[in-house]
Amino acid sequence: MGDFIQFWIIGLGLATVRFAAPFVLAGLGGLFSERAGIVNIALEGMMVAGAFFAIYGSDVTGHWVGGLAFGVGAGMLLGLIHAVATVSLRADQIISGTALILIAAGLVNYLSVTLYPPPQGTPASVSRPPLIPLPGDEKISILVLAMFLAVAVTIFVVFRTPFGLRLRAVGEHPKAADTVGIDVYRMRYIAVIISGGLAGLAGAYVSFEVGSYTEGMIAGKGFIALAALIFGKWHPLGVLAASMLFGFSQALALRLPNVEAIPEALRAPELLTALPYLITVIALAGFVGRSVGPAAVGKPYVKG
Amino acid sequence: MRIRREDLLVPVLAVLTAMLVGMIFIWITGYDAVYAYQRLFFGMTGLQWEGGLLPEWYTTPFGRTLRLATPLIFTGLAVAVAFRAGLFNIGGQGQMALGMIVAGAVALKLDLPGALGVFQIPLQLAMGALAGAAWGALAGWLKAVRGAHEVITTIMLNYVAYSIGAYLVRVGGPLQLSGSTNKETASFEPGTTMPVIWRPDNFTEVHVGLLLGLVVAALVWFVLERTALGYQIRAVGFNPEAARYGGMDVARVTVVAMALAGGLAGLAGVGYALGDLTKLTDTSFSSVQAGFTGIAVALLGRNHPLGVVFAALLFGGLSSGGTQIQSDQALAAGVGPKLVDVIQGCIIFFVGADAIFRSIANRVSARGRATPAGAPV
Repeated sequence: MGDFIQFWIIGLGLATVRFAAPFVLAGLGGLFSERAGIVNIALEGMMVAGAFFAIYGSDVTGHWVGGLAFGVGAGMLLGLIHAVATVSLRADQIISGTALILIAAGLVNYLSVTLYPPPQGTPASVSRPPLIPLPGDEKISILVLAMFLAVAVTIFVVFRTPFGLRLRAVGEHPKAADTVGIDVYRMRYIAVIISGGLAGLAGAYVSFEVGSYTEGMIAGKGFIALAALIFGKWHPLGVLAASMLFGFSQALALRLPNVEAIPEALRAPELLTALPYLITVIALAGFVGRSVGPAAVGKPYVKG
Repeated sequence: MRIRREDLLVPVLAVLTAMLVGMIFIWITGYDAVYAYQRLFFGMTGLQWEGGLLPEWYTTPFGRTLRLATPLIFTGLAVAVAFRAGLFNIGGQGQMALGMIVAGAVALKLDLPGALGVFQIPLQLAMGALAGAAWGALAGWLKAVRGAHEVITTIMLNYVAYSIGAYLVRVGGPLQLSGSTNKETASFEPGTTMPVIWRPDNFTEVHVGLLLGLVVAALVWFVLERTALGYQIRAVGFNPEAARYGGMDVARVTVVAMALAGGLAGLAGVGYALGDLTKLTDTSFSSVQAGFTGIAVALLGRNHPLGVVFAALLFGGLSSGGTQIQSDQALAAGVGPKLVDVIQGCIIFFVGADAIFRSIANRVSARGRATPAGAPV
């Protein structure tokens, strides 16, 4: 019975939170951007950049805080490029996002083989964020606490500050916002750069959990975060809840192969890795209904 | 669709700018950028200057370019058709994987007897296309009926497709070579593989998929420009509200367009599995990149079938060039394909942000207008 609780309640619960954290962080990133009217599918690429540069920064500066700064900075830089393309040059937001995903992955994987030539690869023992001990011998990364803090801060900033009001105005009705003197372009730049920083942080979290960077470690997590944003109806608490669901499905997929009551063919790890992706599709299609985003999302704004 | 000057100018400028960015990048990381691009060009075309005025031509790199361009024609068309319906199909990877799985299963499990053997390859192509079409239609249905955004669902369905593939070839899986301890199928029998049309050397083969791709591109052009369905697809893509007002069944057109797109990507999978691979393994499905590259191909080709064919040749060439410089001693090991990824991403970026070129062009032409009348421009 003790084993059961340990494995299924505490173990599964903690694993859920651990897997959910990057979805929450990147999902909040998506929230800032989309609330301001810019679709950011480049979250995926920003996470890849964050994951690599966190390890690189930690290696170069010798401290995890340096790593975090590098990871977040890389995400913000990509955010800036996305903003230049979509706000100033009025590029299609999805096309710019797709391009940035490819560019980020290409650059990072180029850098990772030039800076850390195979077969050694990225260093295995860089400085990592400290773990916080929990009751019962469990530990959790300090970044998980940062994730919960980020949810609270986002709620406060987006719904309780003048900045948040302007952000939402720009995403709902840029023309009206412009008329009352809000600098639409400036707000959108800031929002997309914050978005990149949060996605970079999400990527840093992923590589710090493992302790090194490997190609393909993000594997669609940025897109799942985007789904969490839609499923969570563009609200921070919704993002948190949706991310927990996706995190849970990932944690479950890792545990089900050990359950002997299920026929062997059904609990093959090859099949179960599809579970989080499948749940994401079902969540988007089945239970959300038509969730409606900010009114001006996806549309470039031309100053009149 | 009339081809405007801009339709040629933007892609050319985007490619040149992206090449420049790639060059700066190699230079920053401390390697000889000019040398790298010489090798890249050789890897694309097989042309190399060896002292004479005219270059020597080596067939192997060019054959590799054609081989790598073949699936890209199909995946590029898969993205382009969806684009014309206003849908962004990032699911080429998964649709292609379904084509690989089903064509592979037919090739391994079904051996048509005697004279019926001539139908073996057409049957494999048809089944693979159907499987891809079903996978595409699923995303179309999720969009049209359930309101789930196709960008996210197609990406998620890619991972699901990889899993299905890996599951089928796992040890003890239905397609796995029984008795083997590897996650792989048996090798494909000679009668099931794509006929080879050109073999520049013993390691490089160009299969009939290339010709099929050209025929299919022409067909896609015909369907889009000369049929009622094509008109509906374009109308929905142009303005779904107006199309609905005009009496079109937007949901049906969305599903059909995605099915068409998926079928094209499925064909890419059939050609790839039975033309380029000798068997399927658990990583065969996720290691394909043609589905993603198809996005760049379609964007660069301006979603026009002819443009897609040229763009596929260019990206096939870049990929071949990346392979060429991968093992080059003067460059860091393994950078070739990564560099090509960067160039590819930059091409998409500059195609998307084409306002850069337009504003430069405007400035140039404004200066032109400022010159006195009659002055030579």
